Amino acid sequence: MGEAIAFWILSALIVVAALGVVTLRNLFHCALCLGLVLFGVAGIFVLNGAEFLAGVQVLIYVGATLVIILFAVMLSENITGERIRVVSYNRPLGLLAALGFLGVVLFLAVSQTSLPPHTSSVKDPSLQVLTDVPNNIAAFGTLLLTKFIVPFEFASIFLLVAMIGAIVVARMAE
Amino acid sequence: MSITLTHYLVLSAILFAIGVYGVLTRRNAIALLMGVELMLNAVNINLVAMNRFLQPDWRIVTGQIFAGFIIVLAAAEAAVGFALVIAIYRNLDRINVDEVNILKW
Amino acid sequence: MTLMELCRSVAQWLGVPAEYRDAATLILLALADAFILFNFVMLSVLVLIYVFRKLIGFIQARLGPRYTGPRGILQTVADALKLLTKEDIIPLAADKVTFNLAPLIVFLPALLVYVVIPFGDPKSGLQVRDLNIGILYIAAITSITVIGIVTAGWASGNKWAVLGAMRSGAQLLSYEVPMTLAFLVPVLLAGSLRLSDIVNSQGEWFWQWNAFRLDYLGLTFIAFLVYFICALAETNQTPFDLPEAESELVAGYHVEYSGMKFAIFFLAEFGNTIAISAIATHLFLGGWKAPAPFLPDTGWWSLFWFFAKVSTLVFLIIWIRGTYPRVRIDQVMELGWKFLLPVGLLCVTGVGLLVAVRP
Repeated sequence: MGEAIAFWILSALIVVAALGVVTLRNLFHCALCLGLVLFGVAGIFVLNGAEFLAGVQVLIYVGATLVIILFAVMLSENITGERIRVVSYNRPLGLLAALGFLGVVLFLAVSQTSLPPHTSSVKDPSLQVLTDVPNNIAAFGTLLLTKFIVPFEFASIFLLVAMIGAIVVARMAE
Repeated sequence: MSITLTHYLVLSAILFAIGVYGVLTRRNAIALLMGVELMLNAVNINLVAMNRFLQPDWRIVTGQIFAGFIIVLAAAEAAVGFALVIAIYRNLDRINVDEVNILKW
Repeated sequence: MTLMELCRSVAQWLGVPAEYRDAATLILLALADAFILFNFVMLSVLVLIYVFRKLIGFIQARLGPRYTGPRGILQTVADALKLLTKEDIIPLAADKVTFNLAPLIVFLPALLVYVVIPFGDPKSGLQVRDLNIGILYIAAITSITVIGIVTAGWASGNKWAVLGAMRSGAQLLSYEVPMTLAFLVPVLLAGSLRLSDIVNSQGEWFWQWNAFRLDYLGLTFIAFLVYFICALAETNQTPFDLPEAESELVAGYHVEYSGMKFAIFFLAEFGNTIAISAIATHLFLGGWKAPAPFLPDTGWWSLFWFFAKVSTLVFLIIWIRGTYPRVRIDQVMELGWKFLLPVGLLCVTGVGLLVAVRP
């Protein structure tokens, strides 16, 4: 009951704001709409028992990525100059492609939902560390540092590379 | 009516399709990257919902970890992507992706 | 009678059918919590502004407000009334919707932070929600403020506002990183993100609190200092009040704002000042605990100890504000990235190693 109310409110918010992101003509308004979408998705995460991920979503996506986007918008406008008008091109083709994709995926999602449940359990040797975790946040951390340690380390190296790359590219003009 | 996996899948598909529309129709590089962010978020909804509905054991949060990696990669993508946008804007004074047609200057 | 029971009886009195009564109770409870929090923040900000002006006055060898009410207590109320009755000016070049939206985006996080902050022992019901992601929630919610500030600067359609917003955005974004690192130290020691667990992981005596404990080589105290400096920068307090540097930028991102919208920015700033002091209290200064085990710290006493610690920190912030000059923007960035970030990393690594090595 509670989940249904929350789900419908959040999905309405997400869809309307996402439409705003792709149709509004003012780039800054698009970015703010993207912020609403990100918040809605964080709410969906909470509904699905992923509170930690919801916090990370707001902290990283809204607090960092969205601010970078807003900065990019402000830097690419002349500081007090006219607002950028973003125009959409090839609308019919884009609409056709998006609707075609949506049709196929919706058909699959509605007709093929008898997906098999996962067969992995905490009896598996790689998942035995999860036998007595107190909550889902501890489970997240434990799994991240045992089974997924290699992707985790890889992600940190990747972030370092991306950071250095971003600095180099942004300062190239100087 | 209770909410099932299908509801989340449909929401995610709609969000992804909106993202596709944005990427296909926009020419402004920043707006284009925003469309990509929409698509990444749609994928994350899918992963988290599937983890909840198809994995009976709440302790196995593989889907959430996958979504976490996507958030990390999206942050890196945004940093590099927008650094490129700013560099291109500074050097060529234009921001529409189809007008940036030289590899060297 | 707890608030929950009160809400339940109100739902009953309203004639909500039995099957919806639980949902109605929860909605009423949320509304009541929001009402209490809002009034708490407003009242404490009202008091804080008066105390702030008096203290700054004394520090600068002035008297501060004197004439409105006994000893000038009503000065803040008078100012609030003045701001409320002022004309609400929207500049011609401004983007109307976002111009009106920006103060809200800044103000909401300042209010939402209080949801997880315990005002005393949570066992006495002095906390709104004890979320399991407590400290992550705080870090996430406070990071929204930047968006409001950038929006305010952009929407004003004024180059000083845009420059102020750029500076402020860069400053807030830079200091979020070492602040989150400093958050990690108490989290590592408690093994939990929940604020009540973090407070309970600190000992009974004051030298067992995270800020003063010596069994981690003083790294926890360094983390406390890192957090405190970052918190000053996050709330635009002196010496980091660059975004509103009057002498250089007119007033920074809120130069075009007047009347109540201007006041909302200031409400948010003072609300944040109390919030960061409360967070520092819980993470590093033992929360609602008395400094010694023989002093009472249950029930209403926990409220007293909590507010005593918060007031001390707020006093410290005002003292710093009255004493130190403003730093330059390049110095702010250098301090954040070249000093606080490595020190924060050192603290997290050191404490993490010690936690891992010790049984």
